[in-house]
Amino acid sequence: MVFIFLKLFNLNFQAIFLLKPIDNKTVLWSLKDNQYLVVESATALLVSKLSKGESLEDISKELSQELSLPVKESTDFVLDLKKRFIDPGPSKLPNKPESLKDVVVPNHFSVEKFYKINELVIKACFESVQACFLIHPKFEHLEVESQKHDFCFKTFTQDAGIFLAVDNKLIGSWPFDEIHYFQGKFSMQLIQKIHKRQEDEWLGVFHASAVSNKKNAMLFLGDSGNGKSTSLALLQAHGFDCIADDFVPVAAQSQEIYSFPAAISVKKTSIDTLLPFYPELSESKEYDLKVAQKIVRYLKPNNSDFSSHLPCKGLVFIKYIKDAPLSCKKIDKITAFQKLVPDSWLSPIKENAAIFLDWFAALDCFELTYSNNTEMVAQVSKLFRDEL
Amino acid sequence: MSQKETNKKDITRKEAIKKMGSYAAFAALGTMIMLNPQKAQAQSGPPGPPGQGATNSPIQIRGARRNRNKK
Repeated sequence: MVFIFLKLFNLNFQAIFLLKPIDNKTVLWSLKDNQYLVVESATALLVSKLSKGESLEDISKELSQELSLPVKESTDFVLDLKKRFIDPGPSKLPNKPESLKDVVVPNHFSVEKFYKINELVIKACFESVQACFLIHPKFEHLEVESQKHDFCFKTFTQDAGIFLAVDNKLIGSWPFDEIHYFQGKFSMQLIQKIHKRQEDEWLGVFHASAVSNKKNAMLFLGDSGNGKSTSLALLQAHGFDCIADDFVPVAAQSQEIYSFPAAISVKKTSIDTLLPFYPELSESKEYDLKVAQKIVRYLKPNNSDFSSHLPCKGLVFIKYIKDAPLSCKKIDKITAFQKLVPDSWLSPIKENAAIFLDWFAALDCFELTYSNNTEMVAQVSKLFRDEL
Repeated sequence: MSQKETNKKDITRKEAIKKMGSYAAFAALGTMIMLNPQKAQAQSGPPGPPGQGATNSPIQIRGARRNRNKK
């Protein structure tokens, strides 16, 4: 009886977190709150022992002997680890949206747009011009005349916020101060339709730009203003393909980067740099993102096959610094991990989290600092050719 | 605490260094970096028609993309 109980207990332990050694640390993932923790490998070993049902006393005693510490201190420490990682607690993951059953999807919309993505036609209905401009500028290059459509996306507002319905099924609602999550969900629904994969089939969506040489892709990451989109536009002017800008989905099964058809957002400060390659930018509409304190224009990606997907060759943390000499070096994975995770949506499903950790652990991570565009393009070409 | 009692707790420099090393190793074990991914897919976009923003509409972008990591 006791044996059975322990076996069940063990299974329960093993189900709540993942362990993945990366460099000289270990990353722990917790199912409870989809949180990643970077810990010393010795700490991860203690958690692993606790998860296997080893007694608190034995683990504490062993730790106390190893570190020549009083047993009380090591016991307190191990107890804290147990509480943090092993003992079940309430999930901190966001609750599923409250029932939307009382919400009626309107029948009449003042703005209707049709977008053609490969052979797929999406009809997008917006309650107002303002709602339309939350989505439309990024997809304007895909706009076609009114025609028979495959899916219908409806956007409308009510007191509580903004709502999205796809084929009259309510997907969710977001308060007005979380518009970026509405825009993210709209894009997520779009990639689900384009690539025929449900949300639980993606391991994550990265705030990055993705570039390919038709065989492999690389992700370019960095804080806003570091030149992700500008470098993407420059690279596509020099023979590379744009796979995605700002919203880069990676599938769980293949761990490949999938195309996302949105236009590239180009900041006003980059227009002069890009005009020689994209004269059409001089006539492009300008959008003032007041809160983000940036003015942008949208540039059509050169990729017309939005069904493409390619393996990821590496992560490049890119940084434009005026007058800086070109510098490109490999960086340690833990540093890269700390930059990557807080800016990404990562699937909260355990199997996908395990795939994400394996995928990340196998990637090369680079830091590229530049001021000269020609040198940057040459350096990226070298990275694709493994010539760092 | 009397002087006699205090003296009893005196340790040698070597012992002190050893003890400091133990506590340093212990402190390292307890050091961890917590990383929370975004709670949902997020994307930035324009707040309204060209040049107008959305200041008079119910849709106001108060949480800009660049600030979205702030919890």
